[in-house]
Amino acid sequence: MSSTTGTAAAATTTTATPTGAAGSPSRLAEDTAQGRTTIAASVVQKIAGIAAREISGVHSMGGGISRTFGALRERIPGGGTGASNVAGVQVEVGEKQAAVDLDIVVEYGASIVELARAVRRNVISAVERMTGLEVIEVNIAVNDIHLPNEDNGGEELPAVAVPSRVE
Amino acid sequence: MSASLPTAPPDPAELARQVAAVVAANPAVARLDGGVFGAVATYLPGRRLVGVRIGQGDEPVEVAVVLYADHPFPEIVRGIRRDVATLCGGAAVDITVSDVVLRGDTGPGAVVEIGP
Repeated sequence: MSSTTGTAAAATTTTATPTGAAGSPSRLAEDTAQGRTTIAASVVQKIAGIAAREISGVHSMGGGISRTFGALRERIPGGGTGASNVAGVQVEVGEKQAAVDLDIVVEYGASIVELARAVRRNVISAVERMTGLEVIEVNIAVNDIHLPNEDNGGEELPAVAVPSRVE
Repeated sequence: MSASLPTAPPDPAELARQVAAVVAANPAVARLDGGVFGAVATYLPGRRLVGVRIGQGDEPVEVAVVLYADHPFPEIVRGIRRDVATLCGGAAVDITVSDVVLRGDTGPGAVVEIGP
């Protein structure tokens, strides 16, 4: 990891323009003479979101704040299409590398360490395979845990409780 | 660039149309897209051809696409670049992947719902 950043830094100091950084395994920037390839951040965001959700044990994505922003962003025209899919995913995308931050809600009963490891592995392989960008880090924040009875009980309880409160 | 550039393409608008047709014919391309600010476009009489911009002189040809998320992008992009460069006499081709969709989704910004 540090070796690749070291070579990239060396390349930028020796050459003013990022001309493909000879020697580094850049699969996307290899063809700068024929033109550049740009991958939008929302693309990486979507792929990372899909890959994270594929792991069973991930209940949903997003924490309080990012869910709020996701809901807000859905209403802005063109402000992140498919916002429900990218809630809880923040990315930084450079020319050759990407960094991913995830907010996830886990199912109760899943080993969080194992789950995080699986999510990280899947996200890295999906993003690297699909986009050709090198994923330098995947930071995972587990924001909440989802209990299995929250689905069933949550809907029935208010129906019973509400009429009895006031007459 | 060993292939000499015999003639500059006569009509940028016609060239843009051909490029758009070639790119859209790629099976991995869902649709052409305007890029981040919708700036990748060619202004034709009567309509705007979104997703292709033919640069003047040494400027690169710009293409912005939405891809299906089931093939690695580098080889798709390589194929698009090869096709477009052939059409444009070996010009540099800047390609922007501005979004991805899953197969079966329709329309712009189709929401991909996975899980609960």
